[in-house]
Amino acid sequence: MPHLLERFRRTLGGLGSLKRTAAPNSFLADIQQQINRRSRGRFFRRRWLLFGRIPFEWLSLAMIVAMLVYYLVMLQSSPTGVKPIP
Amino acid sequence: MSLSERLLVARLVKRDEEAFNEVVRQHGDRVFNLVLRMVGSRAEAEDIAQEVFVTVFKSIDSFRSEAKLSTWLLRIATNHAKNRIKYLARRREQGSEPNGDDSADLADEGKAPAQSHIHGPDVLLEAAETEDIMQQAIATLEDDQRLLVVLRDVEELSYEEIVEITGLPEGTVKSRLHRARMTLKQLLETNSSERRRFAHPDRGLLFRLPRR
Repeated sequence: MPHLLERFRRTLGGLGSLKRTAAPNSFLADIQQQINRRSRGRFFRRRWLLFGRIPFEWLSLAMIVAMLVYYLVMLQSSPTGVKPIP
Repeated sequence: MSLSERLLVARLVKRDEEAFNEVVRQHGDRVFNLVLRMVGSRAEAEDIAQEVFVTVFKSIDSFRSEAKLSTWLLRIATNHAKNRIKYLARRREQGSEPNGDDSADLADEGKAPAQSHIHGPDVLLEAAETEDIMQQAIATLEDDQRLLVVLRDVEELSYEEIVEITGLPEGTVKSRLHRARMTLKQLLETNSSERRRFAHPDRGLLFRLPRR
């Protein structure tokens, strides 16, 4: 019996060497898209990123803060003062 | 289950997207290969493999921590593949799909085997032919037998893991695997003697695929 098993193993030895095929490059992205669609956008929302890292929401917030600071500085430094319109 | 796996599962239960991405990266190729060897078509395998991970994302709450994550994943993959095979067989019977040679899809996979160093064209061709023949032979097996051969002889899982994935007793796994190997051995030996006798340059389909 052991010699039969050995013959089986030799004949079928090729099975273990079957090439492992990689999943497609877009595999993860495709799955995320599916989940996003089926969860109606609840998961794997598409995030807009500046330079691939900074979310645009943060950038918008930073811009608003910068404009506010600029306004306050201008308000302080103006000789006549910027008065709000009554 | 290891501590890192427990932590990963805990994050998955909370629907942590990065944890899920990690699972796909770790197990994606294996799931894809299992399904590919089962159904024999790359297009179908991509579809099924995606479904597997969507199921994982939705059903992670039902994962029992006594099992390994990998075997649970492969169990889901197995069920999806079997269901798709049955579905495709029904469609063929209804005549809405040709009784295609799905192994031809996989034959393309064999034409450029992964190489760690440069082989000559004759070696590449032989490797590709062997891949074709092996896949054609696997494709002729009954679904249950094919699954066991893929899990044990291609994916090299332990019997314990196979029992977990299939839900079959170990004795049944071994006896079905033995019958599957006997069938494969006969097919491959017949193929080998046919090729020697005729020495035909064309790689014809020497195995009749069962009409499902």
